[in-house]
Amino acid sequence: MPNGYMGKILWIDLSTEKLEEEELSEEIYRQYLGGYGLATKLIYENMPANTDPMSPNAIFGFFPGLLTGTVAPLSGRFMVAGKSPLTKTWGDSNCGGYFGPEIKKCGFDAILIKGMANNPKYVTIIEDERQIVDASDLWGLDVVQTENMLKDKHGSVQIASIGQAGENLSLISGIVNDKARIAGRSGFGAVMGSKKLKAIVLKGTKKIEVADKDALIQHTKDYNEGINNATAGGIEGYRTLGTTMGNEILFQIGDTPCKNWGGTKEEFPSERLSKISGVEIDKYKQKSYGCFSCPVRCGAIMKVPEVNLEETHRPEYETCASFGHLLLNDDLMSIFKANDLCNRAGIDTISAGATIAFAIECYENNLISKDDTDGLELTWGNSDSIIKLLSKIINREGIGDLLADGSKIAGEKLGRGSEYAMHSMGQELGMHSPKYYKNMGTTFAFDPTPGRHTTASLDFFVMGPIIKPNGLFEGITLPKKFKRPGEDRSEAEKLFTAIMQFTHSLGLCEFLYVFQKYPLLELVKAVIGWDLDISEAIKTGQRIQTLRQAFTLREGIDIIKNKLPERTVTVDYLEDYRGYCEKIGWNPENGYPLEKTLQNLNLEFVIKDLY
Amino acid sequence: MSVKYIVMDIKDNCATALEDIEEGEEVDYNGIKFKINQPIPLGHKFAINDIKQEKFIKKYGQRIGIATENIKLGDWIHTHNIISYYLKEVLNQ
Repeated sequence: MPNGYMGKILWIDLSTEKLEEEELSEEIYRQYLGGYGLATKLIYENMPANTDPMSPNAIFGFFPGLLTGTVAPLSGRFMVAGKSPLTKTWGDSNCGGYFGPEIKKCGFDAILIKGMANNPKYVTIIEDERQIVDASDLWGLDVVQTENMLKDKHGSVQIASIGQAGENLSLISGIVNDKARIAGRSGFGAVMGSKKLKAIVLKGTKKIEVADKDALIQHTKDYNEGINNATAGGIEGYRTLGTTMGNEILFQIGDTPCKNWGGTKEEFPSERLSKISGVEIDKYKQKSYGCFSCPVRCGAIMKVPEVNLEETHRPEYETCASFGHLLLNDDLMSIFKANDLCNRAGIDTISAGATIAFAIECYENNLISKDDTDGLELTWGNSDSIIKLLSKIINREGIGDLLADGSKIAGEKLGRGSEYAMHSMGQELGMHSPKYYKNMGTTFAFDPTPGRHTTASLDFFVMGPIIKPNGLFEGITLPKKFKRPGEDRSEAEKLFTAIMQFTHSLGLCEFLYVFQKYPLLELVKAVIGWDLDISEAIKTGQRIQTLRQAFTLREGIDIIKNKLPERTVTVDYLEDYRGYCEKIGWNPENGYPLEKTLQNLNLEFVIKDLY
Repeated sequence: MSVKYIVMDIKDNCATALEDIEEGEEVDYNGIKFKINQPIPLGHKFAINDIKQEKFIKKYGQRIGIATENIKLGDWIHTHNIISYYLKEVLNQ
């Protein structure tokens, strides 16, 4: 019995209704870990290039990290991964809560879905009993209704499901667990909806063996004690306000975009900004909660009687920014409502808000009129219209059908207004400005999953301990002033990107970088028993990033020609990217990994696909 | 940048720097001008009132820590002069 991981994965074929286990070798785990490391390896090898992501041949899956399910702090996360129907590139979306650990407790390191059901189905894996069940009575329900019905039927289980947005094949829809935690990016709600898979229901009690239980407990205790006693590093902010602690600060420093990325601070002055601050939101908090194994607990349950929300979840910073600042909307009640609608319907709040911003800018510039908007007056900050439009998008009603696949496709179908679509290869940009975080432009434009803010942006973590003199790891020294324009950041980017792939694939929350020094390699040793040094960790991260890149390139996508909307950037992100490519052994002219790089990373099987 | 710091709630006795603030730099809060006593890095806290030893540090309108020494107006507030209030708060719930 291996330590830390379960040693096998589960394939679910919805066409044949067969469920098959597959054992994986330790070598695969050591080279790819879990999360999207394992996902890239399995999906790259099992899904041919140019597969329609919403066809029966498409594969997607749920991938907990290698530490997920243990008590290792911040390790409760999982990835949904496959080919994105939104960007047509490699797609992944990270999520927390309790669903990821339950996959491990059911005995698997991943659950992969292929095929397509004829009628709505859900899958149950309850202990050793596995079934594919008719879901006709669940189709059409939101995720809260779905979870409630399934828990009434199956008891205490963990559930991932799609809402109406996924059923309606909205390309900006996601998959929801814990009633409000959503793997929102990359459009996997539509992939799951195309397969007519409403939900996956899990309950397991399998034990995860660990190599050194005493060491695991001691490292966890020490880390949690540090977190509990922390008075700096943002921990007190996350614990109190969650990510909404950034609602004011990030806007003030120039990070949060406003008015569809084209506004100025003066257009959303502090008296309006303060109406949607984390402190204002906190007045509606009922209790805090956290993901599995997290000592920080940045989530919260809210009660907002003003908009008839007896129990809802605290909106994240990204949601507040996309439905607040980006729309010049200071009506906090509408943000609570939008957040609740998006979570229940299973739609990505970033893309939904940004697509509404696109529609508003089209309206304000007379590219569309009330005749096109079903009578809605789509003006900046018009919260009533914003909520009505969101409902239309979720249900694909009227203009909502045009907007349900994001701003890029909406502009193309409309035949005008594409200059107001703030996306990267179809995915709306995360709510962090490349004008402030200089490296964010490179990530938005050229990460194998474009448009995402959490994949690898170096400058995102400038305030965290990673840049402190001692660094996050022994043996790594990042340039202290790497954030400043004009300096060569490529070496730091090389290291940081690899570390991000490594930690994501272990199932760790990336906020660990802004808190305090995390005993990363020590925990890997305690849980799995591997005596990894930092150079192997970095090489593993580079392997994962390179395979993500190879997937996107194999699709025939000329990623280096991708351009971000002009109003979102100021620095030459292409030049930065070319420097990064040189450092990691990719061709700076086209982003293709060099053959010798692929050989060095044990990715020889990729060579025939790219050369 | 026009605003160099932010006070999250009216009840707070500390502010958060929105950019690096140099030692000796004069800032203005509610019409009271005072000097910053130590360099304040971006994202760090500084006192906007005198805070006596064992009194609460308030941020977001909530108690986030306890002063371990007397903190003067304009002082950098960090791990060297406060301890956490979190566990006490949790135990009191």
